[in-house]
Amino acid sequence: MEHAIRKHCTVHHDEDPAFYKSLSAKVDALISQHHEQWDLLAEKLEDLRNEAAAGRQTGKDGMGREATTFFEHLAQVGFENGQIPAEHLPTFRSLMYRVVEILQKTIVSIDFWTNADKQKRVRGMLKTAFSATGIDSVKSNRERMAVEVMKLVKNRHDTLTRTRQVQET
Amino acid sequence: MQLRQIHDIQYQMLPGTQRRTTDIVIERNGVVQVRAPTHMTPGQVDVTPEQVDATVYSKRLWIYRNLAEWRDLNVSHLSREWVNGETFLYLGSGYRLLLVNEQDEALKLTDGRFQLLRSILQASGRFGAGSVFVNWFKQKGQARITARVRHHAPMVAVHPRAIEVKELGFRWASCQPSGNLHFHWKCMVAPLTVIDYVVVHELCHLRHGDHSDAFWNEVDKVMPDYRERKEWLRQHGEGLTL
Repeated sequence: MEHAIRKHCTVHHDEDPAFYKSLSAKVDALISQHHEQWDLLAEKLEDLRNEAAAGRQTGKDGMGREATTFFEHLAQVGFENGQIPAEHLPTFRSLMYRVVEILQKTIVSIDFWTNADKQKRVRGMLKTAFSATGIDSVKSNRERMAVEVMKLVKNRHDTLTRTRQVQET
Repeated sequence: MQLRQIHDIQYQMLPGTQRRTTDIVIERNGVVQVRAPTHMTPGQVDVTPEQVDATVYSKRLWIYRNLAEWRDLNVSHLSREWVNGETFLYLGSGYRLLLVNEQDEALKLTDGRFQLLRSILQASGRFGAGSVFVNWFKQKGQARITARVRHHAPMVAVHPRAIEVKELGFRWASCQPSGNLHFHWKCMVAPLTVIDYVVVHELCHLRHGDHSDAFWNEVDKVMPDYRERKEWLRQHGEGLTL
């Protein structure tokens, strides 16, 4: 079961890097914690398997699922050790809403992923949003964060557009 | 090294190695090189040249296919003349050569023409003229490629150290563990989109030293259309020279 969970995490890693990375860490922790208690370990791994199969279901700290996905991944890219200083948390959370909003408005275009100009324009909008936060480390890492967002959104295109449809109905 | 022939396949047999299988390579000059194992496992029997012939013959379809591909890729190779009107490439565009009697530099790109001092050609022939072009490409490349590296480095989130444009033999560029990046002067003959691909490729090597899936995933993140640029370089690379 351990290998099945790890394989699942590897295959789906790019759809939600932070979530699947944390699941892999949980597998490691469970094995080191319960390696002498096979029944308990099997039970806990079963729970983890269900969690992995279901994927991220809800958001955190009042954010929606999509915003949380971007929040956790971009925290790793934009801040040292992924730790966001407390004073920047509200700004960074509202940045995630803005990011999701930009993406949901733009990626629905039918030729978005084959049109380099449209992608470039969205990257520009994202970088502007990053710079507008006034957070130094976000500003200095804005190029990399924009690259990571574009890769992540490509892997989550369907989920993002589906969420938008649900919000509109 | 021994030159051998089996039917219509001529190949160079190199000294054997400890490897267990026969290595057949089509070299850049189109020569077929074969490196057989010194011993056949598990019996430790020496491989005879006839056995190598048989192995090469059994792989003839692979050899024919790869030789055909090699010929196809080398069609673009041009041998240029150093005369007025000959076209030389710079950043993917062709510029005609104009030999001039007087100017303040050995080579200039002005008014859509490469202007080369005639005296250089008269004094040191095509090699002298070629070396003037190479120096010119190195000088232009140093500034332009450095600017492209500075542009792309934040996207890959790496910090390259020294950047140098030089002669690199058969490689377009190289990345050293120290973080130094070297680029072949011939990159400056290619279009900007292809130069950008080479730059991003090397920058991603600062994250992944190999050509693993993780490396290509990194290239894809920064340059989603890298496959087209890579394929362009594969098909037209041979023609990107003086």
